[in-house]
Amino acid sequence: MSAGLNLFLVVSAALFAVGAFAVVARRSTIAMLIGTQFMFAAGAIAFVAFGRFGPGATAMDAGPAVALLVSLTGAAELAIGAAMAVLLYRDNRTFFLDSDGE
Amino acid sequence: MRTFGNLLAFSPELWLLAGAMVVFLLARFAPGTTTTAALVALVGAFLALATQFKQTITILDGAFTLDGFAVVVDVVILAAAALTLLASRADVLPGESPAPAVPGFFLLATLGALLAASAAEIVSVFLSLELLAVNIYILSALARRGSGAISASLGYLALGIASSGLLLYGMALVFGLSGQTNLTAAGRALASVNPNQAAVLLALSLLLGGFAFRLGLLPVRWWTRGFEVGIPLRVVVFVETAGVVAAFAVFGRLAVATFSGTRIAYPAVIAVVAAVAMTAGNLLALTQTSVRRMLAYSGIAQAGFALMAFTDLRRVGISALLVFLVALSLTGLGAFGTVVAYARSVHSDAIRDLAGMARWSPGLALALALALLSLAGLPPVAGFFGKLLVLQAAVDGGYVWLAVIGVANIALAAFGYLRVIRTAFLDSPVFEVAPVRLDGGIRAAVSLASAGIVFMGLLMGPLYAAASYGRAALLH
Repeated sequence: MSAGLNLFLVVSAALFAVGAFAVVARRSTIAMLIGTQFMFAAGAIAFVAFGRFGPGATAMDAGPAVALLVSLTGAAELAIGAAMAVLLYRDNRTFFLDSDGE
Repeated sequence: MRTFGNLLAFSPELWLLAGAMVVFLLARFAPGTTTTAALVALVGAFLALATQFKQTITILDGAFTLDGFAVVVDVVILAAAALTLLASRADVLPGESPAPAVPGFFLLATLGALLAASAAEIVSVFLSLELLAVNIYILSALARRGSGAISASLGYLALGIASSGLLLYGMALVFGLSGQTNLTAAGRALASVNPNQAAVLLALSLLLGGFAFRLGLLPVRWWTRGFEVGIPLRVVVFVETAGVVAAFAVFGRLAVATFSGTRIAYPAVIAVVAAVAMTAGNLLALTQTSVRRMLAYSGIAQAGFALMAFTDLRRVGISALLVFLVALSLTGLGAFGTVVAYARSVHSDAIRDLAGMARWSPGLALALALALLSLAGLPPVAGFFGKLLVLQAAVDGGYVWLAVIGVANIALAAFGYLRVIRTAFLDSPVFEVAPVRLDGGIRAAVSLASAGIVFMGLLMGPLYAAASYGRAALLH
């Protein structure tokens, strides 16, 4: 059983790392937004895995419930981010954030 | 039906929600009245909150706990939001047509902040913080100033969502280690089953990392683009007052309920972060040439100072934190309000352009001086009392070295801010300034904030009693 938990945690940590890398290292808005969704998905997977295999036998439904709400908020934020990306493209004809404005 | 039995305890939040809906409708039919409607909703929420003093109510099966701590924090958040709204109309630049729905998003963000202050479950903490954050993202993108503005909002959004991701992962670890979603129950489980200490420390680090953005510990360079471009100052003021207060409230509850029983050295972790943030924030603030940037960076130092209170959570830490948050809100509103008001006249927020401020608008110069003194933590204004209590907490918690760094930072900050005050009062003006007539809203906001900064010392007795009440409610 605990091998299952470790497998899920490894997957989730990998997703998290990929997402964090995309947010930090990419200047393209689209890549950054996708990266944030990777981070959210990683958290949701960790919640579900802990709910199924972790010590939370008393709260079996808690993990999936959190995951559901997290994906909803993630979608809401992605919608706002995508709207902003469209505005950025309209202003600048590019999806890249300008890095000069220090 | 016990779950929904006491939904009326949500009445302040319901006022804000109803107010936001009314504002969104009015934005369509009577766009001039939305700010007033939003202020009415805030006052209504405050009155509704006043009926809930002195009781502890759990709502939705313990997802929210409206205790004394939450009530004290709610009062601070509502006051900060009301003053921000009052000042916000003056921040509209000539030629800028603000969306009339803006006050509605302020109300929804305030709603998120209130919910966050009373959230007692992992899910409710996350959702209410997201409600706050999402509305701030919208607010930051609604008024676009200059071509770089939307880029600033997007950078802010990406960083915000990424820090939410860190927060979520930290919460997942807490859930995984304890098997509980309730913060208090999770803390009890973490204290009793004695899980892997490295994992608990990792969870705390992830949570601190996620909160760092919301507490104002990160240099958000997108805010400091300069005057008349980037994110409007009214949004920055809201984030630096109500947003920071809500984040500290959540982090305080989390630290007390979940981590104070564990065996990891959490005060040591927080002390190191606090020391670095204070020093770095003050050094960065000192090197700035614009008041707006200086205030933004000094926000980092303020957040670091507030974190010092976490070294002594079991005793006076929470009382000190609450008093400090009151001082922080008043100071932030006073300082940013003055900058907004004066920048209308001089069309600049460079420090050297403050020269002659005492001659052109003596009232604003006085307000700025008071706010800067309070920011530095010099007696006898508000910031001094907050910092004194926090230093006391650090010493009581056994972190004398941290208190020494804190005092050194007060000296450093005083040097920097007195320089600005000297420019405003003594330097001879570079150019003639015709003071712009300010609307009543920002006058009221700046006067109220300045009065609060001056008189907080006199009201320390009742204020400290309220803070101790909040602390007692949190510690049971």
